[in-house]
Amino acid sequence: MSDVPTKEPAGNNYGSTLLDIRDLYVEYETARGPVRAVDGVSFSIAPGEVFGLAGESGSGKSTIAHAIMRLLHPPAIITGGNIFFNGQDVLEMNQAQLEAFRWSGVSMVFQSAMNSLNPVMKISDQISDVLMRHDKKMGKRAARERASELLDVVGIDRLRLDSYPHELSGGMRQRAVIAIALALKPPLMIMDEPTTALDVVVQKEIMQQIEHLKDKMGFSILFITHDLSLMVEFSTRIAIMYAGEIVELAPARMLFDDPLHPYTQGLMNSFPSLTGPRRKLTGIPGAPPDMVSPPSGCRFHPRCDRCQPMHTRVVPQLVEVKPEHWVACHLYEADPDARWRPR
Amino acid sequence: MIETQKRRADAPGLDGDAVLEVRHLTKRFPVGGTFNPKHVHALNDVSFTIRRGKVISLVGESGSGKSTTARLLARLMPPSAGEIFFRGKNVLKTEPFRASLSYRSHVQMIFQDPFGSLNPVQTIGKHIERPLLIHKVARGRDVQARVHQLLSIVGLNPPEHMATKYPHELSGGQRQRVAVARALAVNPEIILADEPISMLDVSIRMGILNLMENLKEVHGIGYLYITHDIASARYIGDETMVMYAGYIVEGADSDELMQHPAHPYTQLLLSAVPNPHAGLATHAVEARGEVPSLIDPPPGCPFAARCPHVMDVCRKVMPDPENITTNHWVRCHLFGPGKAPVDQPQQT
Repeated sequence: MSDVPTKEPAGNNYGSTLLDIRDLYVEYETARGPVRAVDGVSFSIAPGEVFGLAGESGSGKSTIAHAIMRLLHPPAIITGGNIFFNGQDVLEMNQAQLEAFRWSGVSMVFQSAMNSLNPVMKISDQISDVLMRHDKKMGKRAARERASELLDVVGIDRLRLDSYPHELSGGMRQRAVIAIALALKPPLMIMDEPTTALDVVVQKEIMQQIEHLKDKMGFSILFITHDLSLMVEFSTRIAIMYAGEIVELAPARMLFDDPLHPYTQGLMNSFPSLTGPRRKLTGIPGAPPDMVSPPSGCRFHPRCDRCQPMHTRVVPQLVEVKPEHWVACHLYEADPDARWRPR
Repeated sequence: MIETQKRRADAPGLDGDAVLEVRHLTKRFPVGGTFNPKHVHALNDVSFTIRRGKVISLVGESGSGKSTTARLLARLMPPSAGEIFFRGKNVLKTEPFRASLSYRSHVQMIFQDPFGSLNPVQTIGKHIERPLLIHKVARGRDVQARVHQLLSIVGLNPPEHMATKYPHELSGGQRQRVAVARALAVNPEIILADEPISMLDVSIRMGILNLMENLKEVHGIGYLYITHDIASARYIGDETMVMYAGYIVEGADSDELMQHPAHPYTQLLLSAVPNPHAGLATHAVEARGEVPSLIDPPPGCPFAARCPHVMDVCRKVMPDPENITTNHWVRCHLFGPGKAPVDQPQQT
């Protein structure tokens, strides 16, 4: 593992790789100057894996999702890096290749999935649309049959086939969107805050359903959320993003039991628990940085209570401090055991 | 007055610390046309007491009536039935049409959206000055001093500098602090906080809750904390009440409620909260289905259609609150006379 370049925690220890992102840079042109929303991010996803990408708003996690789908439009520009999907570089694809890649290679469940359905089309037509677009030989009748199968799969009554989106509840609309994402059996599904707008009971049902489908159909998931508790429950590995960079990457349990980066520790200290003694949680002082002029050195340093003068000048590298546990923090460079744990 | 005295006598839990009490509060919204009049039963028979220096959390899903409760208490709209007592005074009787200036200064509100609740073309200083002038809390040179004092109380430092900024120059957390300072300006006894942290970034949420907690301890402010996040309800709430389809179905001291949830809906809600200590599949959700329509609902308990313990009587009558231990009551037929408690879910 030690010969893996420091900026590329590509080794996922699962043998094969489905999606491989290397040194990705994305910039937004703004009136106040360029904003580097994604700053040299590398990670890979293995077949069947649930890879969690966590971070606050503006940390760049949704931008990465859109970059994978090649959905970024100016003012957003991919300024560097590669995105390999099954060995093919997504950033090099032409229009025809892209059309084949989107939805049958990678599908996406958007943040506002509840509103991403067309309000004047029946559910059946919206699913058939995807099927017939990608399989020119498929007839209307066959597409409708497949659409009703898909509704069964995600737990919606077939009778709802001819409903319009407004006739469905929020949870059912979200299930319908997942049905559309599953339509072409893509090996990778990107879920960007899939349950944020839903109530916890519905969220739980939908997440259980997704887990069940994943086990049955074997697709991988890139799971994006700010809800760390949900992410730890659901993911195999988790990357924590801060201000456009991955600051920590580890298997979910390891990250939860032993967070290393002060930012991750702060996040863990921001979620009240339902059980155990009530203790004071401090959160993290300060606010996420202005990305037009991000802090020098370690971008977390203005909010970090373990900051030293050197940290404000030198950018820390993402290094593997223990097997599979990567962290970008100066504290661990000299001494991997410099672990500091909040009480 | 005699009327008020009588009502006070049968109002449970009345004591010196009780500041705001609501009794049997009900709200119906008319929908449908002249020929087909219907009503949304947004709030049904809601009673609780907010005490000095205590936080009472109200938890529920979207559409359960949490915000309607806050808006009725802030008197932004009139209830269809029920009473609101402020320090023992039936305010709907004494000031029936519009809340008096004094009521409005005693009961303040913080809204969910810190981006929408501030005026983009006014400085932060102006936002806080305005209530001071309207409520005649300060005047002349004192106004500036008080504005700066309030800003530093909520942690916006240096206050002289912050007062000159505009809302777009502040982060979400700072804006929500401005909203707190504005509520605080008129020396309220009660703050109604409607999802004050749900639109903020995770890392700054605790800062706002800790600020509220601090004000509670220093100024003795009582809160109604409205949230859909039951873990934060426990974090800040001395008491927690659970709302479902317009009814408060259970209320107890927060720890008691989390450890011994009695109502099947509370149990469902608690089992659905993500718990990193366990896997997704470890505790199955017992009930399925969705919240029923609130437009002219059938009689009986609104949870009956989803409840794993449903009985015939549940579909006919909504049970009254039943005390099960001290400071723990529930509206569920399972706890009516002669009924044994249901199995408690495993707590980790």
